[in-house]
Amino acid sequence: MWSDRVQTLLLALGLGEHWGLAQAWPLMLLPLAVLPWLFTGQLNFPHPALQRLPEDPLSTWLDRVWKMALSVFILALSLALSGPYLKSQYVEKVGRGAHVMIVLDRSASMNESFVKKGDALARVPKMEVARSVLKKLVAQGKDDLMGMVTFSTSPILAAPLGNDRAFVQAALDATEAGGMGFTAVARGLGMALDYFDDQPVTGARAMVLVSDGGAHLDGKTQDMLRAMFMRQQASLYWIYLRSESGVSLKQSLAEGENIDAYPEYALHEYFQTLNVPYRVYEAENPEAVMAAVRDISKLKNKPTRYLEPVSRRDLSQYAYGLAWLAAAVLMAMFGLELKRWQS
Amino acid sequence: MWRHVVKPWVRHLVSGWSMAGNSQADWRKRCLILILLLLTLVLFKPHWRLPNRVYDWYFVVDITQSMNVPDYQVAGKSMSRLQMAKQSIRKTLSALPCGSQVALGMFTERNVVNVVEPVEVCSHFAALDQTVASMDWRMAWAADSFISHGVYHALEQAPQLGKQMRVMFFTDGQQAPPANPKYMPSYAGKPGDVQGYLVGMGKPTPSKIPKLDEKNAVAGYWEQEEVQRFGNFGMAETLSVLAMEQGQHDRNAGHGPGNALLENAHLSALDAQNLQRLANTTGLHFVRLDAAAQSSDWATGLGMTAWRWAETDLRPWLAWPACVAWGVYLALTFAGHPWSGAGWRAWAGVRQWGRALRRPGK
Repeated sequence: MWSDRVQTLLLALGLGEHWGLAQAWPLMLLPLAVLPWLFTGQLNFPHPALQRLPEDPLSTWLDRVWKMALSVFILALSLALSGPYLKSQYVEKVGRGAHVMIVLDRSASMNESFVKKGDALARVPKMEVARSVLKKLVAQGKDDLMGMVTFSTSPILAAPLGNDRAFVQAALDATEAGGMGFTAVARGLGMALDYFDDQPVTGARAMVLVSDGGAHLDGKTQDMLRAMFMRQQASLYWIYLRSESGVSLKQSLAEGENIDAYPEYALHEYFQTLNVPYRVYEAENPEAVMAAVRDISKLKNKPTRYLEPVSRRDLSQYAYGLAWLAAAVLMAMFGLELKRWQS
Repeated sequence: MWRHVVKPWVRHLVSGWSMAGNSQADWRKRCLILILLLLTLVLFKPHWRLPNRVYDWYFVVDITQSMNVPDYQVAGKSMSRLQMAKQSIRKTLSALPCGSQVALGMFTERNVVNVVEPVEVCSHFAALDQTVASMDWRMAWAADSFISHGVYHALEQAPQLGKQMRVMFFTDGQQAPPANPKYMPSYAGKPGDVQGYLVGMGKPTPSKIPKLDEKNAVAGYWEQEEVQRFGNFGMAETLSVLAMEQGQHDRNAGHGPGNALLENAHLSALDAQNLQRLANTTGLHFVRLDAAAQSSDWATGLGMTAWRWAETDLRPWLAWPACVAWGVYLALTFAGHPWSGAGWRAWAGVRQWGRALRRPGK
């Protein structure tokens, strides 16, 4: 019953929910705070007749303040040592630069190289190329907010839109091609566009689609995606990692060719009808992709404020400060003490 | 006011400080000076690179559809296993000390996709927190749930992510479709190679698995007719005529767990037995999660520590001597208290003993 009440009390205070203690055992020092009030027997001077001494309210109060300082000191220190902290705080940050969402294809075909023949250097997997290029992009432009979505059959949020570059790099490192052969471009783009939803439009928003092939989008999906692009006012950069056998987007299709046989081309045609700035970078070799990186790093933005969650906020410094104050009071009180009897 | 009140007080204070007292007063003064000195240092938040107790975790979440079963109750509201797992991880993230490394992964079908390589938990807290919050059953790239494959795969990945990486795998242990026991993988490593927890989600009583629509509202439940109730992988057990006469249909029936169709393949419960078996073969600890806060205790448990050089807060190292000095100051101040007589006698005994040690001849 007793423990139940303590539980309810702790729950009402929000322990575990809003705040916590790094360790609880230093709280065992807390009972020491009663010691100054239990003890008597400070340094005293014999006096023949205590009754004749007048009552000195000031001295009584000074004694109380001194004892309080002693208690507060040990209370504050034991609290500080147990390390109280607040959980999940938000801090306001100011961001400049563009908001860039990377949409990276991790379907199985990304494991293949640009060319089938040639030495090992030329036969770098496309994933490897995409990763190194994107790492350069992420390393540039310190002010940009970046995020990443990877997709094969379904999109996965790998890094939320924010200014945590090292996190995007870690997510890029973790990306392995090896999903299924299916490329769900629309779902990847849709998820990435969703991340612009909460933020006000303050300037350049860019979607960087990195993939090695297209996918056919049905009419309904096309309309939905178009509406999303319009609403978020995001420009689209498509880094198309073309393999040797792939179709080039620069030339128009020959007369009589069926566009459905070339999903990349169909996707390119569709992207051009989006009514947002759209550029395609066709990369048949690793160097060509750098042009895209340069263009994207030029994007600029108005400063925006946003809230970012931070991990626990340490509160022990306040307790240490309180202990310091108590120590200062003790110090001053020591000066007031009588060391010798003087009349 | 200044001349009559403050000035004499200040003079009194200063004279009180400089006045020579007996040795007891001197020691009390020294204690106070020591305390104030230590605490003044503390105010500057000293820190230094020292070997530090940190925890490296690879959190893997099962995002198959059985994790959508809302069989948790939190403050009167039902909560799905997936939400509960996500909440547990987020709580654990804020409980881990700075310097700890965290990697995230998601499981569905037969393998675990590593979403983020290990990152430091404090400086990347925001991104980690949001990534965990965004984990969704829709991210599943296939619908199967071969839990043994998944656990083994996570354990394979862990050593590549970091030497002291521990694995915390949140799953309900649901196997779907039924697997053929003859074709299950075996664990390649030794039990205990990778430390960690296999966290069992859900209740042991079976519940229906909801089908969620685009807005994550329940649109219905998986019915018995809609799910695969037999394993269909592998060769048939026997090819004898007798077996066929007795009702085996090699072409149509499953070859998995017997020929009988499973009655409850459309339901999902915490498969504690299966998870316990997996825990035994891999050396992970099998635990059942009842409240979200539990996992942070597991994650910061004794066996899971990794020691690493990290910025260490030196304030406790300064505060403890200050506490001791406070105790000495208190003892000296109340030296006249009746209780302290025993203390003084003990102290005298210690001193005598010390003298005897120093001069062993006499």
